[in-house]
Amino acid sequence: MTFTGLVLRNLRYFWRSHVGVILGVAVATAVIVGALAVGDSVRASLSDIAHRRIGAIDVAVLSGDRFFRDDLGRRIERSLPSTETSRTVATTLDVRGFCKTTSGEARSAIANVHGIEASFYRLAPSVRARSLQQDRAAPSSGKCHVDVHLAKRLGIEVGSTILVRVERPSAMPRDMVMATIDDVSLALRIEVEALLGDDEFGRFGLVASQVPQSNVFVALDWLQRELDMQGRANAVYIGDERLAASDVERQAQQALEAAFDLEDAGLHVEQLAGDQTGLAELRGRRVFLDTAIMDVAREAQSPSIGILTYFVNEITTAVSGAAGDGRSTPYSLVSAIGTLGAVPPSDTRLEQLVALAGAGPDAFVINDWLAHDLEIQKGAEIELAYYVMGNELELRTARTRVRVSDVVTLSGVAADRTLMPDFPGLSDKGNCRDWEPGIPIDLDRIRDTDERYWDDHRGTPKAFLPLERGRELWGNRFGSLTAIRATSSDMSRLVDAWKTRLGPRDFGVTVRDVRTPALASSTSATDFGGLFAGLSFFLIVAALLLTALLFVFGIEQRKSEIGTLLAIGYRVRDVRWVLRLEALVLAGLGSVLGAGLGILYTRLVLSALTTIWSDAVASASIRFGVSPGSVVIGAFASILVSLLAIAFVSRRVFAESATELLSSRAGAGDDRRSLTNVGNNADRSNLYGIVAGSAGLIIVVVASTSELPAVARAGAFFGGGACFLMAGVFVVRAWLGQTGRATRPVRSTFELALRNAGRRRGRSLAATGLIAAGTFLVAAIQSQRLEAPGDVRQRDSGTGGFVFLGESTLPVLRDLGSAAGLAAFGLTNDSVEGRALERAEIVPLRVREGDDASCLNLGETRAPQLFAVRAELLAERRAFRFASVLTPEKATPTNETADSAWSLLDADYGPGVVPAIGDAASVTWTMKKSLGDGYDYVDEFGQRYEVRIVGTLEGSILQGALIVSEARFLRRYPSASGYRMFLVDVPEVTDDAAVHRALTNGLEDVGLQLTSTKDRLAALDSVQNTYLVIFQILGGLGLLLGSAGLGLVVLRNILERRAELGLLAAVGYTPGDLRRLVVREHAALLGAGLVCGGAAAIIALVPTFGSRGGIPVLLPVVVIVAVLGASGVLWVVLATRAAMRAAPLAALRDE
Amino acid sequence: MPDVLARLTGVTKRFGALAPGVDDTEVLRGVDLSVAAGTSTAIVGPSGSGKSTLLHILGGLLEPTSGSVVVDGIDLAQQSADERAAFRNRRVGFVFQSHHLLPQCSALENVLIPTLIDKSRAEREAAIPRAKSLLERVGLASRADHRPSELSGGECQRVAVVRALIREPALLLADEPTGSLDAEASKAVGELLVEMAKAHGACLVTVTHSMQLAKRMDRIVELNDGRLIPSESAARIDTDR
Repeated sequence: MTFTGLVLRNLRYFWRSHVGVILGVAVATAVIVGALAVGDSVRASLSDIAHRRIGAIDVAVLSGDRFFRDDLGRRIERSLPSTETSRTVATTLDVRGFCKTTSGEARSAIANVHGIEASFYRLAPSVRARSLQQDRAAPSSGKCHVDVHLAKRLGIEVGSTILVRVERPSAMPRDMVMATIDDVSLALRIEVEALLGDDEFGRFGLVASQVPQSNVFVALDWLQRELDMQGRANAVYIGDERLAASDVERQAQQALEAAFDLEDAGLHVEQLAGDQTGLAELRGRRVFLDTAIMDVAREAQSPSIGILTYFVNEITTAVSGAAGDGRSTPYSLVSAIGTLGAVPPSDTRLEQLVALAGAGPDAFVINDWLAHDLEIQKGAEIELAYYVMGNELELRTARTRVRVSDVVTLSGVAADRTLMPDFPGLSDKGNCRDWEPGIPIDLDRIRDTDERYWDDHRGTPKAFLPLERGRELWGNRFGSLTAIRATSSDMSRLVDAWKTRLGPRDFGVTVRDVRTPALASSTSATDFGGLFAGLSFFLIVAALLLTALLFVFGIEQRKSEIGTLLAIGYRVRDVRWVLRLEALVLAGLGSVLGAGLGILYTRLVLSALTTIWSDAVASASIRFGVSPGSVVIGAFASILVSLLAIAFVSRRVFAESATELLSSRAGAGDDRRSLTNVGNNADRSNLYGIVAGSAGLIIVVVASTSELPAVARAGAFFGGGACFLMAGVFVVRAWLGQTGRATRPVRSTFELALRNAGRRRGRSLAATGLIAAGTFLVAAIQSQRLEAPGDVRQRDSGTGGFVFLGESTLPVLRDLGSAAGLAAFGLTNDSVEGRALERAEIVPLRVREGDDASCLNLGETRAPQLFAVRAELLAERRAFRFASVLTPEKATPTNETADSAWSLLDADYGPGVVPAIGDAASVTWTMKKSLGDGYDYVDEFGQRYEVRIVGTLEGSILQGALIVSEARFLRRYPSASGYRMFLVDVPEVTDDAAVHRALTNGLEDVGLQLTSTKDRLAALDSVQNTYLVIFQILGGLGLLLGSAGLGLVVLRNILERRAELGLLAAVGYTPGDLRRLVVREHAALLGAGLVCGGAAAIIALVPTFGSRGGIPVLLPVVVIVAVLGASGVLWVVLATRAAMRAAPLAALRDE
Repeated sequence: MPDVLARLTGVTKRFGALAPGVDDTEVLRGVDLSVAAGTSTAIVGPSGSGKSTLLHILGGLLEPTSGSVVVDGIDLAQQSADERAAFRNRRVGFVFQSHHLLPQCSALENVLIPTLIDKSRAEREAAIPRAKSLLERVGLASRADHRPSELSGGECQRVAVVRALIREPALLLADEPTGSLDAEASKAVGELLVEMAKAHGACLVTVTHSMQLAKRMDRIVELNDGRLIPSESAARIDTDR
């Protein structure tokens, strides 16, 4: 026989006691493997979702709110290095919308409507998966393909008809003064031709989210026609099976730069005719030319002039505000003209135009038609009234007084009707009464003379002024020129300069590697493996403790064997090695069994995660997916921790000498240690108990009397409860010490039982302490449950004091805070609904698409969505409570009140930095950032900038995004149109339901969805709250398992005291008496633990009584204590029966 | 006089008190004892007189509170725990009142247990025929593959004796080796012990209440209240009993 042979022989011989060890390790392994497998499953599911979202797409060329020519994709393809059969390029026109059934019964919040060409489906996930043999054909004209998830929600099938309301794209940004905002959306009635599964791009979307995006696919050319966007698109998707996404991105970037031209930027050069022959003019679809265009022209050596023609509502001789005391001319165009750059115009016609506009700040030239109409002459003072866009998208009438510096005849350069840009709804109209500009005009004010002017001269400006002055008046974030004019030859040099100096990025057209971030986002923001291991902590610890106790229990039965080995010359480490090897084999067997059980456990947890615990994963569909690595890691981790637990618990065995081990007095050393110095320990325990109890009392009293936030108060009470728990355990310790050394005669078997409990004080206290701590943690953890505030109007709560949170599918281009803005949606004081909103106030937010960084998104956040707000609107309301802020002056976080903290959004943190505020939980857990950290974003002009987190909010409804200043946001994204998020203030006297009804009905066309902030907060809180429930359930299971350990304590105690029990039997105790004696001793330990843990938990839960009510809070505590008590008593009784099966008298004979 | 194999000088042993306020228990009070190589000694005395403690100190299982223990030229007080374990393994053989055989191993395997910790495979293998031979000499050749549960008490104790001798120790220590056996088995085991010790040239020290066994020894010493009674007293005891 060898050393190993001895180990094997031991294993075989003591198999009965080893079965328990194996099962204990198996449970621990199952839970660890299960936790890791849950993590794997979440990762695998997110990876699946990522692949299904982007299919075979590697790179997207996106232009957002701008539109390039729809052949850009083909031009890019031609510019790519070589034509690869593995490459697919598809051009789409993507717009937002929402859809509903024809009956209106079911509707989607947001639907992405994609106008696609046939090649798009070649990029579908099924192509990579090779699951479809044939590509799906593009939708027929006027028909659509709908994803199955949307179809299910709407209850539609192939052949059904749906109503899709889409955002009508506009060449002009909708925020631009002259942009049309009344036709912001378009309703399409479309027949469903096919339903798309996840592998057919049913989940298509570039934004990381595990929630299926609603997708409606229609034919590109059909959508272009419907939206009046013929020849235009805003996305090109490229996939190359052979190349890495980063290579495709690099190639696509080069190809885009080669293929991109001014037409794609919405610019065109027009050769002027007639008197202007030989001249050319640059114009843009957006009317205003990007500032970059002007800057290049200014720096170029080619001479050119800039033109800014603006629509003026009224030119009047009247004093502002005093109606009827002067003459006025409605709706005129006024041109500001000037030289660009240092080189003077090389053509006399251009010189004449510049001269016409005059020079200097006081120059203002009118034509004789206007002079005649206003009956004025040179030197007269007139007033111009025109619209400018206010901060809140309100059209504000601005007025400027000028003195007429000259009057020119309406001829020659002054009669140049080409100075009028292509204002939509204006320049293409035959007569004035058909005008449909984007601004409100009163057609009744148009006189016959105005109509004749239009007939004869179209939009020929009636007045001229120098360019610089015009830019001061009418320049805006979209640009400050409406045209650049030069000789044809100079223009072609300018075009070259623009092509050289400006790239697609300058016009908001960017190339994005979509694959890399999609795959990266499939890495879960939360490590679910770690999370579930944490939530299963009690279960794992209980299983390990049980494993170790069972193993040690087995060792204790073999103490004399150990003693023999030591006596015959084995060193302690030799014996340890024997036991370690045994433990290793047992742990190995247990882990193999546990790995199998772990798979079952995973399926059980996943089943719960898709049903009762679905809130924990934001209702994501999680598929089973476990990697062999996790099973191996879980099994090895389990073996390791089992061995450590065994080593820790079994270290005491070797504290006994070989002599003690050999003798029948094994355990005498414990008795000796336990009974020595009992008095001092009892005194110390009392002192510690008083200190811990006093600390708990102070904490609870201070927390009760202070104005603490709910979270801090709950934390304080939890800490107070923990102090009371410690005090309780110290009291039990002192009591055990006193019973152990009591000199008073024992008067009953119950007293004898208590005296026995004090004999092995360490063991007894460990049992009581573990039960108490476990009960406390599992029962008191619900104090960390997040609750919506009782009063949603409380400003420093998570609602910010707002009653509703609104999200619209289509941008709202009006100021909903103004009566005029509401009136645009039919919400006037004349209507019941309008009156309901009289006292409501709305804070609008702009939204930049990005990753949802709330706890409702499982994936990693690469670029959180941005909310832009005017900080003063939140500051003046002192909305939300700040967790901490980082001011530009201080390097360390400080506390600021809401009124001052919001102003940090407008503070200067250095060049290229946009300060942002985010929800503390989102920042920490989902974004994994802290104050001072930031994200790199690319703005509309392709410039990188940093969004730096400078403040965090406590548990707010603004989870999931970073909030930035609106002004800074618009500087970065001037084309961003309108608001899509709204915080609604409703005074207490107003009927909340009426406000909800009014806004929902009034803004139905923009797809407004209004959620109660309380519900929103509850939905966000439900994630954490579900984790707490999971912890309680798994922790409760752990405690139940752990209570079996009490049975082992019973077994150990009885086996050590067999001779004593034999003696009691000898002197006449019946087996029933002996059983009662043992059960009472251990029931007392169990009871003490439950009382300590339960009472401490109730103290920790006191703050939640108010918000949740006493019974809902106390019931779980009572249930936990009752179930654990019942389980503990059961194990004690079973262990007592098992141990007493051997007649105690036999022990006497052994002695 | 033959060479002294083991010498105990002024050995005392105290055990800590079980309860506060109670004095330590002094089990041995300045014991001086020498045993010669190849001789046999019986230690007798009333229960609680410290016989087993003395034996365990002699075998390096316990350390004395004071005094010195030199066995086979080795001062045990200077030895580390590992060295003492090696000393026990190589130089000492123990036989207890209870045989302490490993129930999971056969008689032969139990005999070989002390050799298992040998690093040398050759030594381990060399021990097997010796074990078999020893078992044969104690009449257990046919029971070599039996487990303790299949052997009688006397047979188990014989196996224990063989286990003690497998390393050919210089010192064979027996603590009440016949205490749990019937008269016939006691006699047989007693004879075996003396015979085997002699045959292997081992010095036998046995603690016993049995005068029958004690009388088989070359010398009897009595321990009373932690002190050795002079040898002439032992002789008187011998005569009285």
